[in-house]
Amino acid sequence: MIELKNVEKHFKKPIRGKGVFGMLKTLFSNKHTVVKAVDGVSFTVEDGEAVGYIGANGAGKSTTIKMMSGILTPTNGEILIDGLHPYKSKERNAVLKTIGVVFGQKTQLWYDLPLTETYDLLRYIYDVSESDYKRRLGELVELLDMKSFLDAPVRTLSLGQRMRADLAAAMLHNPKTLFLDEPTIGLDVLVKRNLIEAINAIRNEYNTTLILTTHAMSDIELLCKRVIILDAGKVLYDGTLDEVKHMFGDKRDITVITKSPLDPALVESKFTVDRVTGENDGLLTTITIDASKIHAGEILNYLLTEFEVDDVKIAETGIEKVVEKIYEKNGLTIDGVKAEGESAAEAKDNERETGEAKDSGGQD
Amino acid sequence: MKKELKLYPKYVSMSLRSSLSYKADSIIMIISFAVTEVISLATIYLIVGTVPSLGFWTFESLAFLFGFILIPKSIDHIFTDELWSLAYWAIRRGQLDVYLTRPINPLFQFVAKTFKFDGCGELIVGIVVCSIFGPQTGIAFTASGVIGLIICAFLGIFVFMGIKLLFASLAFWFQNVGIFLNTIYNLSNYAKYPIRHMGKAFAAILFYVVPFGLFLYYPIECLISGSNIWWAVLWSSIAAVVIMTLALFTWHRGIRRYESTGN
Amino acid sequence: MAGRIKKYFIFAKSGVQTTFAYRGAVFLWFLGGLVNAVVMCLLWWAIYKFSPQSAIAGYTLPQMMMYMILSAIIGEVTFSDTMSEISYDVHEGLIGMRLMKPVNYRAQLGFTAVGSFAARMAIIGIPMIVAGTLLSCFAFGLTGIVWYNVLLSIVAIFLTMLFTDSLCFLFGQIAFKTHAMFGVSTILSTVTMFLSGAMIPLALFPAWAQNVLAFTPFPSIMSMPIQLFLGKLGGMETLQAFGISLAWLVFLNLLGHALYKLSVRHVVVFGG
Repeated sequence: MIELKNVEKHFKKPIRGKGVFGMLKTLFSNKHTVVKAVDGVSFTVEDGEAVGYIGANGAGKSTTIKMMSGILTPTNGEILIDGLHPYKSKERNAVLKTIGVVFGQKTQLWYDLPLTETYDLLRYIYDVSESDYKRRLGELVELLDMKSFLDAPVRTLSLGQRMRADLAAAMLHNPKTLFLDEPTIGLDVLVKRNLIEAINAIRNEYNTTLILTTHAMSDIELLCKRVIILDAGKVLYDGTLDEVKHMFGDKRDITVITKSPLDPALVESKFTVDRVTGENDGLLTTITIDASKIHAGEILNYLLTEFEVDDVKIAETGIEKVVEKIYEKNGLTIDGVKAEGESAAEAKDNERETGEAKDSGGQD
Repeated sequence: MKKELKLYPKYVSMSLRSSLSYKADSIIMIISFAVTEVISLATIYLIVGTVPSLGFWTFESLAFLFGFILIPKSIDHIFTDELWSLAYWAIRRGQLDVYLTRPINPLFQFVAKTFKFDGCGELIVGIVVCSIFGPQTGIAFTASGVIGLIICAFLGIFVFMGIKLLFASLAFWFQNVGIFLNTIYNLSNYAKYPIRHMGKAFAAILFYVVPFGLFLYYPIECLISGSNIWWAVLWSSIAAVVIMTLALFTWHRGIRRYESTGN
Repeated sequence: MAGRIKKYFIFAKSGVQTTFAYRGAVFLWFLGGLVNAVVMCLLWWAIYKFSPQSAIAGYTLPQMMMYMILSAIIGEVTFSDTMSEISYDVHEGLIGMRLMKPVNYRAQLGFTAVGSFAARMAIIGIPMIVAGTLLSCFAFGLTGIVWYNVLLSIVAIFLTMLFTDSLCFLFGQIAFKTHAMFGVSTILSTVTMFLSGAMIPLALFPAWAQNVLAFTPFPSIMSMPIQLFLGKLGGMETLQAFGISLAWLVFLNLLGHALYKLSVRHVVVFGG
């Protein structure tokens, strides 16, 4: 069982002055703002449960996962995994033996050696007996379809293959809990689908407790019944995925660019849609629909036959929209609460900018 | 601890096989070492050439000192080269995450990852230089002297290691401290001078501020001047214990404030 | 054209900002430079005390003190990240992406380096040069420092930075062939420091070595700005020295450009 009690994580960020003089002043001042990346998060996850931990970039998802997996120490509050604190040096090793962690953007695999080498090392690190190791590796290779690249150096693997390999690495010691931080990041749709099915297969096989972060709702549909939505370091919603869908519908935005203006009323009269907005003198139209009520294909079919369509885009309602709606539903003004969240996100951005100068250079 | 020791050979073998994919790299590292040492030798030659009196120091004894310093330095290089990446980028790029999620000592995992076999070249050069010039220094090698020297070299490994870990760990607070560590580490080159004859202030700095003189130069001076080498052993042990303690303390404080940036 | 230049100024700005963002690291640099300067000064101080002559290789004691202080400052201030940037881009597979951007890679790196140089000069360089000069003049009795030489030498230090950056770019091309860039950069910096006279004034080198070095860019890197600062170069010599520096810079950059084209062709053909 995983328990989080009022967990907070603060980061100190120096206040930076504007302009040359301001920068010089910053150099000698010790002023800083405290950014609450995680701000009083509490929840409990039972054994065998699968939880989607979702939120926009900078909402504090990764920070929470990193605290649960022993990388970061909470500023306040308490995290217990089966009664032990993962961040306390005396309890650390005992906790870490029972968890597996996969980061979408970092690998724990040995870059220049075949996969099996890293697995073999992990076997010793986690004290897995030879027979257990062999059996388990066999199962995972089968489950994750890894036979074809088991002996290739990790640097030659594709991102999808690497993610599956990392997943296997995290599962070798039969962890009770598996943390996945943005496992689908950077994968294209098909590979993403495969990976999610693989995770699901693992879960069905071993009944592992699963906590998965993502910023895309669609990732977790197959995996998790329960979602925790995080914004600005606070839990905004904790409940079933079905309820979220029920509350907000499963929305799609269909955007079309047409050669001649499209009359919104025409679409609204023909189909049950949520909203039709026209821009650019009716040349760019966005139709919002509820996917549980109407198929996107029906509307597309109609549009393509009736109008000269230049371009089409279908987008799932983003997590930002959902978050916005939850605020509205709770009767909170978004601005009031959001301000803090934005500053957290901004601090995260700043950090990235200065941390990797080349990235900011590249974007400019 | 026992588990770590059992795992170490595994790490060494993996690191060696990893580096087999980059054979040219080892050659470059060896050239880099040779160039650095030749230049440091040339610098000493040019500077010491301007000093009229060197007391009991002769060319042979300076060469012996040069060789001796290479021994602890190269052994440290073989085992803890990865600490440089801690100073330069590992923290900035959040590369410690992986080690922190595994149930063994993170510092051990981080350092064990790289075993620099090419450091053996330096070690061999050090030993060869010592054995060529040792007999020519006029030192009367007694059993106690040799044992003392070996202990000093052994302690020296830990002082080098400690200095690297101590200053590299500052990266937890200051992100990129690579150049600073480099500056400090290169001060060890000054231990190759006949410190005692380069002025009191210079000697004071190298004995007490940056103690490279204490554990690298002093043992050899004891042997050459005929003083008791066990004083050098004592000072080296103090330096090793103090610096390793400081280093581990700083590392532990640092890892607690590790922010895991760079996503 | 103006737009294009403006685009690159953004890189210079990002260089400035990055340097300021790592203020702790900058202070450590400052400390490192200070320790280095102190040790080198003490070393030479002792040598002058032993020496029967009042000047070694044409430098009086105060001049030598100033020499070592300047050398330590220039060493810390003109450091360039260019090589590690190239190595990062190549080894992380980002180079292909860089090539697709409508930005000249060389200019991008160069302007970033200029930006961080400017910031370092403002934070460490100028204060330390002022303090070092005052110390040398009043505590050691240094004479012969003229304001226009000081200003000219700051321009020369800027050229030193361009030299380090150009050499980093040139030898950074090795990153396309090997991962051991740490070794390459160690070799480059050690050799450059030694041959440019950072620890030992070139006048102390054997005559044959001085003659050979005269045909390399190295004296322009460290020896030239320091001699200029100390007032050891006459008007004509100064002009000549700047001419030589610029000529070498152009040559090194042309060479770097040619090698870069070759490396990139390799990337394009083999898909990086």
